[in-house]
Amino acid sequence: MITSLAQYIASFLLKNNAIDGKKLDIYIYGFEIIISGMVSIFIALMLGIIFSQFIECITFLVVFVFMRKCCGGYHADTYLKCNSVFAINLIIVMMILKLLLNYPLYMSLAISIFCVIIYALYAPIENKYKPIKKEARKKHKITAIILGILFSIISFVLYFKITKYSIVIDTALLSVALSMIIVKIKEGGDTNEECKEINTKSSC
Amino acid sequence: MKNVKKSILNLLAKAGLESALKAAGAASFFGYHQPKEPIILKSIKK
Repeated sequence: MITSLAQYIASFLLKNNAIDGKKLDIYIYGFEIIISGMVSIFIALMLGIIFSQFIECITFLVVFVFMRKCCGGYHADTYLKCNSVFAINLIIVMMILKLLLNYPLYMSLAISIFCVIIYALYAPIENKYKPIKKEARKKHKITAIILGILFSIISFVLYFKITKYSIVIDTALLSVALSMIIVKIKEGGDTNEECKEINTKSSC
Repeated sequence: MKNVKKSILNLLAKAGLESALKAAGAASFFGYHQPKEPIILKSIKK
């Protein structure tokens, strides 16, 4: 549905001479990114309202999006699965926030260290429909480690002020790390090598 | 009125192109789904 909507918008723009026909695929891709991003934001906002944890949801989304941009990780094969996985992930985080009574400092530190190690080892997880150049791969790894450390420091500082935001940041970091581990387990060997084999499926 | 429509469409087109360029080269963009990146996008980004 998202792909069809993106195609419709792009062809509407083409009919009205607002875009170059040669770049149609790029525009469709761009609109798919915008629409799917809007759906993710909508899900986060709705869950934030339902669980009365609006700012926490936004915080999770910000950390998650920044980390995923340089780390990559698990991708579903359809938008429905993608949004379901995202919603389930966010619901789990919201449940943790509601139910977790005691969050010791050592747990926060352990999660941060674990996540930074995972980023250092595996980032970026390349998607076979979105290959990354070798030089860009190094840049993504460094960015992932720096961002991971930065968010860990923010989480550490917030732990003493507003602990629940520390939990949100830690769970966002952990979600990204786990999605990377899932890919590694699923694909077994070297993901980067497998991703070079581009096949004909339209999405990943 | 025609000019307003034209500007809105141009703005929409610009948003589409910008987001495609921003997403190009990233390991992932937003959620748990990744549409196939057009090959032509890389040459344009250069």
